[in-house]
Amino acid sequence: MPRIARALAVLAGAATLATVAAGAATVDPAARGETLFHIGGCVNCHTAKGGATLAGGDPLRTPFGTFHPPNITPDPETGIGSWTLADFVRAMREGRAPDGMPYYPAFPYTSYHRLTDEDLADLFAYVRSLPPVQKRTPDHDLRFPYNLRFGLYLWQWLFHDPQPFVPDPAKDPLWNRGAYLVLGPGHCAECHTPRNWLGALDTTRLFAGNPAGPGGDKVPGITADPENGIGRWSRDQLAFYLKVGMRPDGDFAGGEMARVIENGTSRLADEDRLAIATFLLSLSPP
Amino acid sequence: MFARIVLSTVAAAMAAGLVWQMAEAQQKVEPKGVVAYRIAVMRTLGAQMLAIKTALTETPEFEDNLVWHAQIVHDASKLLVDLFPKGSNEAPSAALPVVWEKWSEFEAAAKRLEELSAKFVEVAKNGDPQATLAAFGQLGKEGCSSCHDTFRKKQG
Repeated sequence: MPRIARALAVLAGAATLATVAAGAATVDPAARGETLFHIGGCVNCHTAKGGATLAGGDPLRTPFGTFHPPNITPDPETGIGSWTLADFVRAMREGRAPDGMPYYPAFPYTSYHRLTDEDLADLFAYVRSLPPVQKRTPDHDLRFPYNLRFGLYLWQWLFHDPQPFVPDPAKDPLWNRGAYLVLGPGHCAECHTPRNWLGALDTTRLFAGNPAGPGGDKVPGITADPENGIGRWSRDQLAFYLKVGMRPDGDFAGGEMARVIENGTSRLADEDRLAIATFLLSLSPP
Repeated sequence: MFARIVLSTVAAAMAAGLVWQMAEAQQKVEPKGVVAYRIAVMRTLGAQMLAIKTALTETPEFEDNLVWHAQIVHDASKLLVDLFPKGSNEAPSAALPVVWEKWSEFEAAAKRLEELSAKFVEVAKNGDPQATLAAFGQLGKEGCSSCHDTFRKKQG
């Protein structure tokens, strides 16, 4: 190729790159927030079956009692319409309401706190762009002593240490993207890890499965353990499962995971599903 | 005294072992009759779905068979409700009682599979792999998962 042509090609390439970068920067924050909204699974808990989006979810039955996921539409009275971005960040990072009251960890701020500042802002912008719905949700109905909300101050002091996600420089970007999605917005550990009697994740058995998951269901392990995990799945099988819900044997399971796939992982880019699969299959059994 | 403690511990351990074995045996009971037939047909469906996925994502040399697989799924979808006569729920059936309690909803779910699989046959005939994959995903989610979600026991 003549030198001039090569120079032109390089210039054209640079121009394309610049356009792509500029495009990414000018995309509406709410549009970027939509991807986080899907992987975050907000709908799964905060939308009732057949109900308005985010206007409050179906009762969540746990060993600690029944939680009623609140309305998080932008309605100023019954939703989060009066919240500032700072209120939202505090809720997602510290697990505190705007008035400072601690939230129960049924709201997975124990994972969401790993979202970056930019991602939190984008997610907030997206949630704010959804239609407000005026609807009050019932208070939680928990067993003693879990019904004593002030106990959560102690709980958070003991178990909640919000630290930002730190990429592992020894791993490639795909692995790190997967780690971020799984540990942060995807909050996979919240169901796939057993909890202690105080409802905190048993971090020594991360992703080892939970015999008493939400709704009393047994939740399988998702480490690379071939028996109690997904070690026999290939990365492509796992990525495809996250896309359409088909297990390697051709079965289509239902349950909570079907909703996670439908509302969440099936709406991601192929690259993100591959990232999640890459990270999960790198986890050694506890 | 010591002997008594040892003996009772051994007895308790043996009893626990027996309960464990019985639980194991219950899980391994072989299907019979209607339940055996139903499981076999369901496995046939799962096998077609797996074959379709493989042809679409790994072995394009078998793409010409897609319509054949899709047609099997569609034909089987019309048989489904007849595979669930009232009372046919002995172990190891994974059907939930809600199948018979909400029979019209169950019939509607089977009808949905029939419609989705008919649509899938048509899309597969057009031979566009991307469109076929999209229709396959819809068939799996809305035809298979959503019904299993409501009417089948959770699988391990």
